[in-house]
Amino acid sequence: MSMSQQTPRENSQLVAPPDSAAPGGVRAGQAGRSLWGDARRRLLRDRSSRLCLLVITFYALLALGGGVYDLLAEHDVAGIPTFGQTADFDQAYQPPSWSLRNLLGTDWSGKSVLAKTILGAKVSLTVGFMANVIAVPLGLILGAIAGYYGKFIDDVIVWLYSTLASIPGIILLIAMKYAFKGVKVLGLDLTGIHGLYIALGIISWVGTCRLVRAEVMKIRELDYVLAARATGQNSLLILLKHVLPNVMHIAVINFSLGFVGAVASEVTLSYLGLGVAVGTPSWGTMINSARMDLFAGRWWELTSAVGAMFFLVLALNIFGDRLRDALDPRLRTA
Amino acid sequence: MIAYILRRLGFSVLTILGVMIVTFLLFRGIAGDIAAANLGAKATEARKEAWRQSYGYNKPKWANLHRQLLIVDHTIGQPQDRRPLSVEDAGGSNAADALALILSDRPMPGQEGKQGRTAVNELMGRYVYRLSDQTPLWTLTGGKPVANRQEAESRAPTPPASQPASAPATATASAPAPVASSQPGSLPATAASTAPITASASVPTGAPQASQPAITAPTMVFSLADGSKVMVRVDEEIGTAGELLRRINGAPGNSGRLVAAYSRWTPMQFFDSQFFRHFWTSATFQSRSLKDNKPLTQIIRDHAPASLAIAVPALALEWLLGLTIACFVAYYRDSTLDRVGVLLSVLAMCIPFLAFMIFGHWVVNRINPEYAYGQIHRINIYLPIAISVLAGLGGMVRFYRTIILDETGRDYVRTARAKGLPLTSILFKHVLKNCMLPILTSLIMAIPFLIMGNLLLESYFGIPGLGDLMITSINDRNEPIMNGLVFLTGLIWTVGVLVTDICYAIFDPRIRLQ
Amino acid sequence: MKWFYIISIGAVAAMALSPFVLLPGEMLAGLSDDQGKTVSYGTYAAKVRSVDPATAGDTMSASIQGNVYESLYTYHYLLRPPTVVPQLAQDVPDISPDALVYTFKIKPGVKYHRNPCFGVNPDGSFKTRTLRAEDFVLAFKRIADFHLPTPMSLAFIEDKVKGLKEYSDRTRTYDKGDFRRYDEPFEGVAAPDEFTFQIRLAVPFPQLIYVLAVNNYAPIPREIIDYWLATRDDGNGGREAVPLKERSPQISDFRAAVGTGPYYLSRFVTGGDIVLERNPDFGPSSADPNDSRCFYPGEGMSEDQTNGLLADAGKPLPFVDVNRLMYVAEENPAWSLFVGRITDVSGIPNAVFSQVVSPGRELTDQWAKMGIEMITYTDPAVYWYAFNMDDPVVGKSRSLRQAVSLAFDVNRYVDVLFNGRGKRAVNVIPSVFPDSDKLPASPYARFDLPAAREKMVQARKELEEAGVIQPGQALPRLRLDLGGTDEQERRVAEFTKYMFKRIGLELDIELNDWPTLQEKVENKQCQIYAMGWHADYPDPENFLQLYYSPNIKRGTNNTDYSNPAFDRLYEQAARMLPSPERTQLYARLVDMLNEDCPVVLLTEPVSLVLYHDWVHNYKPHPIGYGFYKCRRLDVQQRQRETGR
Repeated sequence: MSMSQQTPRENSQLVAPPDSAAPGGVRAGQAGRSLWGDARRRLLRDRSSRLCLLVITFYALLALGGGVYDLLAEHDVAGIPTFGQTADFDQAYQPPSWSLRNLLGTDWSGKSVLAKTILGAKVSLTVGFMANVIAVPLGLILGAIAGYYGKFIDDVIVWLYSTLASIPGIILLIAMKYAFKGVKVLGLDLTGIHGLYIALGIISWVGTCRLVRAEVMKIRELDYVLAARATGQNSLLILLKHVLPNVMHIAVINFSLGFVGAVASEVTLSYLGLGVAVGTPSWGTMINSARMDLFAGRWWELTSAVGAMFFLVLALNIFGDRLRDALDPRLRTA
Repeated sequence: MIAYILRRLGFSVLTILGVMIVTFLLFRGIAGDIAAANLGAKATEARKEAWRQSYGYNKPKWANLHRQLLIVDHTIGQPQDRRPLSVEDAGGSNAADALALILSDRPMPGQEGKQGRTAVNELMGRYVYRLSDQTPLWTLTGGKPVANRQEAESRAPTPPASQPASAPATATASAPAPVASSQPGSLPATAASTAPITASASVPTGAPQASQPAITAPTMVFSLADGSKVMVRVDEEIGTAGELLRRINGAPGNSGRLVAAYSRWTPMQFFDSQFFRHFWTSATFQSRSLKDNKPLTQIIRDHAPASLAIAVPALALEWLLGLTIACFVAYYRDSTLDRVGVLLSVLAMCIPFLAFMIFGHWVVNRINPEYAYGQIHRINIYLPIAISVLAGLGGMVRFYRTIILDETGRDYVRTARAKGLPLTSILFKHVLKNCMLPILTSLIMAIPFLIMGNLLLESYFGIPGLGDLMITSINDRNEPIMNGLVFLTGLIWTVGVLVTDICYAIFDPRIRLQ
Repeated sequence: MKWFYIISIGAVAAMALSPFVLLPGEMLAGLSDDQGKTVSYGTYAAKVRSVDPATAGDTMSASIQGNVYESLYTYHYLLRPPTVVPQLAQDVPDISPDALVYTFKIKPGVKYHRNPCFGVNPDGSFKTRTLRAEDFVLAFKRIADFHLPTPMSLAFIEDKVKGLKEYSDRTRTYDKGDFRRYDEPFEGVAAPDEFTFQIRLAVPFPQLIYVLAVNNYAPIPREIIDYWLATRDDGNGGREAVPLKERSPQISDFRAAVGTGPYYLSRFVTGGDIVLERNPDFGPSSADPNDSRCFYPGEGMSEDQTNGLLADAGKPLPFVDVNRLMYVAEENPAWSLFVGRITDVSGIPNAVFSQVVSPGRELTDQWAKMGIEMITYTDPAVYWYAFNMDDPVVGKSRSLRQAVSLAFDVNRYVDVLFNGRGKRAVNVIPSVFPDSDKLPASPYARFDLPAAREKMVQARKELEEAGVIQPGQALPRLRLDLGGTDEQERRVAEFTKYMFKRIGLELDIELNDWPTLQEKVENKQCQIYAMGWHADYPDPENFLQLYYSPNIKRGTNNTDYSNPAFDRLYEQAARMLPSPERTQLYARLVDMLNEDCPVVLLTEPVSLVLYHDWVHNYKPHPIGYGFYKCRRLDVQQRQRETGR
């Protein structure tokens, strides 16, 4: 999942003592007090999570705007120049000033750092979203299968994720990006951003899988599930109706955690030159180019990228925390 | 108990096997043409093939179920005459390259095990699955054209086929007399072919590329152990392996000295593949660098101290600082201090690692550039250490705080408080002790990655550690080192997990009984 | 429990102090060891790939090896344009009337570095021996050896030296570790007596002298093979034989780098320190007391006189006793070391360029006051974007290539991306070559957007005629491959994309690392790619050979440019000695290339180098290597200024 260190969160499950408190799903019968309803209410009531949600939505809108701009420019609609064409070499390295274009200054080629930051949000959110859209369902399904069916299939899946977990993530990512160079799948060029989130998705499902598997193993032994199994109900139906809804909260939590990890990974990989394609602005490439510029006293590109990333990650982290607290009462401190 | 340990051990072995498979797949995928990466793209195919053969990259990928075209020299007389069979190009073709005949280092039939290293007089072609008489030639040549007649003709200089057949017109001094292309077979297999022709390689003065032989048909020249040569024309009339075989065996001047056949497949050959070789060299740590042949063990010995010099102090200081701050914060639970502390940790967690790195470097560089980089002074290493500690501190503090607060929420703590014990002594005497297990677990889980070091820090600050080595060996396509390092990490991690699980099983009976 | 805390605090403290145990000693600690010696400190940014002269192919290896090994000829330190002078040869060679046999007289009494391969004296010191002609023979044999990867050394002499292919084929029949192959005869080289060396050519090769000034052809004493490659340390202070299968023919141990040069490698860590120490036996022998290679040159250019570069004329070399080089891959830290007065010489990173150099290309006052001086020189190299002439799109339309050339604003390119450190190339030959003014400038080597657009219209017509595109169809996207993955390369990529877009060409750019780019170019997988060529010797033939069609097979002609008229003229010129007639032929060849535009000419790099004022005699040489010996440090002045 995350790049520099293994997230300590994964180990917290070793701390929590096994207990038979049923997850919120059991209380579904009580009117209006489902886990999800409860959670939503708790979240919206909390001021900080409302604020974070607002921030995240703001970034999403920026990303969407950036995407629309790229689409229009690509197809030469209304003469909108592509971002690469907005270069103005006479205005290179301008410090921030009070004009819309130069609000955050310009970079080495005279392009607006403000525009770069907004388009960078598009990259980061795309990577964060897509990587987890691949990783979380994958982890969910594999974890559920492993936890439910047990025996051989469980051994295989545990073996698979143990293997993946023992190789440092960044090495796998670098190797995969190298392997993806020049490869085209389903019309997507894997050299750039597409390869990036696919590679991230392929290696990030481990955390979700582990947690889901542990949870499913417990759910499997619950009374009502035992009853369903005893009456010979189709195991697939049991999975869909009883098991999966009760592990959804893990998926949701891991989605938000994984989002942060994916954004950080994109920045690291773009810094290493293995991230997005040439010409695509991203926070990682902005930080990379700032390496040289900071020593010449040009601080605005680095600050913009780090600042933008900081607020997004902060909002995601806090929101993820509140979400976890709302959905998983066991992990709430007394 | 024993059963549990054995089960876990077996599982670990399987995991390590999985790591080997994954590393094999991945790094073969990114290697590209590894011979070209190491020899330069301009090296001839023959050289590349020889390189591949010496490092084992010409073998089949997973399992060896293949046969080869075998060409054996039967003129070998005395065993002490150790000159191996060879093939060269004549006639401006790339025949030899295309067939990529490589020298074999297997003992000759009848001489197995006789003297430590026996005379080599076999040539083996590419490994081909299900090699038979009908196998098309292009599988033997790896898809490369054997004969390029057009090119051969365009390079033929002014001395055409009308030159008298007896005058050697080439600089290939020991070749027998050239043949007019209309007479394919009539090579004088005389004693003259054994004497190197030194003097009369009369180069027409003024001709720029005078080393053109008059032979225009693509030809391979085999040099036999007794010094004689056999020429084999390889052209478009040959389409299958069988036809090539017969052409070689029936080449004029051969008379049974050079025999082409298909190699026999023996079951032991199954394991003679790239994967098993990778498996074996990884497991026994025998990998050697492709660049300078240094063993992996020595390279690790050279580079590990630098990685450890960052990782070990960073881990220790992070642990100490993190725990101290977390204790502090947990003690003052829900007070302003706690909230501020938590807030600061969260903020620190959200700053990207790169920002810490770049900013930290900039700050120290402003103060005194001499201490901001690399290994000029030993004390310079504390900058990357400090960055590593600061970047990880946020997460550490939060994690430790959660554990401590979990523990302080327990019944026995409440009881102790109710009984009047001060929180400090409860904290230090009981709570921390119980927290140690998960804390130490997380530390132990981090140890395998200590060796790899922090890639980013090492490459940015120019510390020649293992992480930096990893990046450079990927860039250099130094495949054995890449695989060796990743395998090592995987091994340490798996062993670490195994040890942790066993310790848990020993200390916590609940887990054992699951 | 108390003990637990004490132990853990202790453990943490121990771990926190572990770097002092784990890391090697201070890099600059050698200061006190070098009492009484003159030490020069420097940094290097690219790893040295080879200490074996036969296999060296990169400039970093060449720059280190140049000080350790010497060759028959070298370049004069001060004279420009670069002039070849004898180094280990006594004088210019005797050339036979048919220009095929070159006979060199070797200087007698030249000693190799003291090395255990020559034997050990009773007092433990190493022996040495004098240079012999047969050492050159061995050097050439190693270069022709099939089992040694010697692409660069071989490229110069392949097809030129007699019997090279035969010898190479014969070495193939030997095992990699079987060194008896060096006893096989090689027709092209001979040592008739101890101090006479002969090269026999298959074709006339006027550039042979230049080639022999390249360090790859340094003499190799047989003892290196027999001692360092065939035996190894047995762990008990003795030597044991290396089994045949484990032997490598390449010199990879720095202690085996035995040459006749002014310095020897006393320490060499790949990616770490390199220390070159004075060779105590370097000096004129009694047989040749005026050996020019051992003394500072007495003649130079007029500006050398004014700059004080002739003050040490006639003094014995080398001046500096110890050269310590540290591996610093990033330019900012290297710069910091220079500014901190630790290293003597440095380039200028892009980030600080405007602070250091004024718009008029002079050192700013602030820096000049610090006692720093600057030197500017143009490298004899040209960089370009090459077209794959076999490509269906770019190969078929000359107007397209010309249009791109006219649309690319090279001056802006140099300004924005290189701080103006480059000269616009006007044809494929570097402008610093002698007689380059007689070679025509390309009419397309200028920035003219309207003309480019006109050419594009023509290009469309040509492509439609060739059937590549249908009328009205958009032009296909083009592909550019660059050789580098760092930030600078990214910027180059973005800039190029911008330039191409202005004439309506969409460009997809791929950043490759250097081996991948080479592979792609070799396998003809590129459409347009970035390439350049640094002169190996100061003869335009070195650049024109890149367009000679037989060189396509040999690998030097990567653009696949094939023009029979060009080939004929080239062959004619290649055999001529320098003369006005030859220059005329060169002019016609350059003209052909200007019109056909197989490459988009970019820049000739200009380098600005800074050095402290205690460094004397510093003059970077554009082609030659091995001039550390000429540098002199004023140690007292450095002591005064830095306290070291």
